[in-house]
Amino acid sequence: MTDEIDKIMRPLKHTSKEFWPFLGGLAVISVLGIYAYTQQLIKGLGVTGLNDVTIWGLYITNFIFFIGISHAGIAISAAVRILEAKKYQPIARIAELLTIVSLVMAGLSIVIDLGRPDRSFLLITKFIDRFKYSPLIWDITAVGTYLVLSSTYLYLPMRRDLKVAAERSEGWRKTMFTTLIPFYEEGEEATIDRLSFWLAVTILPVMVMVHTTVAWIFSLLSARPLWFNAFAGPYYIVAAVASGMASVMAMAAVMRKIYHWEDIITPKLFRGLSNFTAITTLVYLYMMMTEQLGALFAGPAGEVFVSEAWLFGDFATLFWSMTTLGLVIPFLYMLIQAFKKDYVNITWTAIMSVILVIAFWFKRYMIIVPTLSIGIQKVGIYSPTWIEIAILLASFAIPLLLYTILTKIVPLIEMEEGHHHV
Amino acid sequence: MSKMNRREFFKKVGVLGVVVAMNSVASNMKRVGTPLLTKTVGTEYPPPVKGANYGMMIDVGACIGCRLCQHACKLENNVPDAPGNIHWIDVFELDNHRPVSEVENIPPVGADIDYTDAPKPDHWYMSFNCFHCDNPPCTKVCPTGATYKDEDGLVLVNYDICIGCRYCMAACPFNARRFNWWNPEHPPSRISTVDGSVVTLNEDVPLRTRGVTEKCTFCVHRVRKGETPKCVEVCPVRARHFGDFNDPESEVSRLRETVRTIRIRENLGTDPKLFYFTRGVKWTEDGEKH
Repeated sequence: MTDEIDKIMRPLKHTSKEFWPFLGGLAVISVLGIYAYTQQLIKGLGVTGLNDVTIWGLYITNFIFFIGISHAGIAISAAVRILEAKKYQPIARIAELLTIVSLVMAGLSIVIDLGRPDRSFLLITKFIDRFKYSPLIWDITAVGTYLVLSSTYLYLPMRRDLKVAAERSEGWRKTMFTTLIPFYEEGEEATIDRLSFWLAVTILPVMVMVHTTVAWIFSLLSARPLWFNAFAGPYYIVAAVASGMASVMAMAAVMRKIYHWEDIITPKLFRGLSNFTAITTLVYLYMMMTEQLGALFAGPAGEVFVSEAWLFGDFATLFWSMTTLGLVIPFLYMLIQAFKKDYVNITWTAIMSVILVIAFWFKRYMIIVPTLSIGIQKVGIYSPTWIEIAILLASFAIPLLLYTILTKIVPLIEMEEGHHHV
Repeated sequence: MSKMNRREFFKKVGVLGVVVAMNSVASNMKRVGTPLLTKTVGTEYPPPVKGANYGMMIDVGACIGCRLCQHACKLENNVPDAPGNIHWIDVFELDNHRPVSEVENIPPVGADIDYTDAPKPDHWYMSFNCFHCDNPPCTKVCPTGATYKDEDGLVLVNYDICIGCRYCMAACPFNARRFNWWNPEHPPSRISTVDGSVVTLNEDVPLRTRGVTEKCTFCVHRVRKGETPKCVEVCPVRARHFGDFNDPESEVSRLRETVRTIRIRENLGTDPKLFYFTRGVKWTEDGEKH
């Protein structure tokens, strides 16, 4: 027991010699991205490859992608609380932290995409007027609610762990952990457990709405082929859950390896996640097929143009490599693994998860770009500039950087005195 | 200097640095063209005309593809030149063998926007600008209300509260909106392509900044004073007709009674107020009237 708490506390007390170069590398990429963004701020969005036809590109792709990643975290930990799926408890907080950092990055992606980021405050001051109409405002509402709820949900149960951490630390670390739990009272755990349960119940529908509203941003535009889609909500949610689960698996595998948590994060746990990811990926492939069939077989001209560009035209290479290498192969691997009794190869599962996450990023790119550049007219070729690529790389480095710093501040695994024994 | 004071000092230097940085970004965002104007302009348009419902009708049979409307519009509305080279009006060259259904895509598939000589035999010309829909999808999605439909049916943009999210551009079925990707550049004067005169910036039309959306306003500053839009005025073949559909005596109302019209992408239910019609081909390549 004590031994286990020591293990969980290890990352908070010990910093390996690889940590600083890793952090430095991420910081350098982030700074390069910030430099690229200042260039965009000084010269205008013209520095991107976007034009009056392809008006959205990598930034909006990133926005959908990160909203997607943010789904798994709370899904897993809410399932732990509501369905008492205790098996997944060790990775619940790893997943919740991923939710928070990716939500922050999703919000930033929208601001990066604005022509006048200095006027972002209008989104709040005009809120009451525009709430009736603009799906973008619905989405900002949903994402904002989700961020507030999920950070509360992350923080409240963490207080008891921070208390344990404070008791077991000395010097500046003790001060840090103590300041992180203001107004701590003995015996507050029971109240927090009740609160957390009801928070979990509240978060699940909000989580569904977050990605539904993201889908609505696109699917309520009747002029846009393949966006205008009645099942866009479920379609986006399935992608979000699959990519979110995959990213949690990859993250958990890395944490397990570097902090030697082999006996805490068990292979059984990866098996469950991998099976679930396989099913959601299959459902996603099925939805993609029905979408393409509808567009090709019966679609109006716009839908046919976009679908042909996906399957046989300008985007075919991207589409088929994304589908076969990125979705089908990881799916098959996870499926075969599911049929083998008591077998799971964590390294390969993690690699397949990373491939899946990358494929889902490209899928979001496929959603945004072809519809804009092909659906309405066959001009307006879009290719991202170095500024966009630098900001893209930084938008992966910044959440990772935040995450890496957080591993040194908060206990990554809920400690054993947790609510599930209460 | 005591330790406390030094800390205060660095704090102040830090704050100063942030303020200077913010200011330089903010000054970059200011209207670049403003100093060229003798009086300052706001985005206040004349008040909407009571009970009006403005619309346009374009005679595609008459249009010879000269693009005078496009150039005159640029000068009239201070539409920026380089580097974006924005146009509010696009004129597309189509050939006779194109089924009308392909016009459903905006612009029509395979249409030429960069043609050099017009009119060409067996070709026809179709110009697009904002359709000023009665049920505009662009104003619905705007998160700040920067774009709105006014009482007289004009769909306008308030450049001062546009945040540049380009959601309206995604929503527009007609690709009518333009974005200021760069700082708009206005030369102090331009030579008019219409009559060769020297034209300076129009003081009735607000200048845009970088990062906001703009589009055809049906020359709101003219039509609300009872004039016609500039493109209608300069058209040498009278292919463009403008007026108030609520007034049964107006030119467009009478035209709608007599000619057969189509609208583009009518199935989307946006109720566009730009009608296309033809009375047959009016002009040939040798300029003879038929």
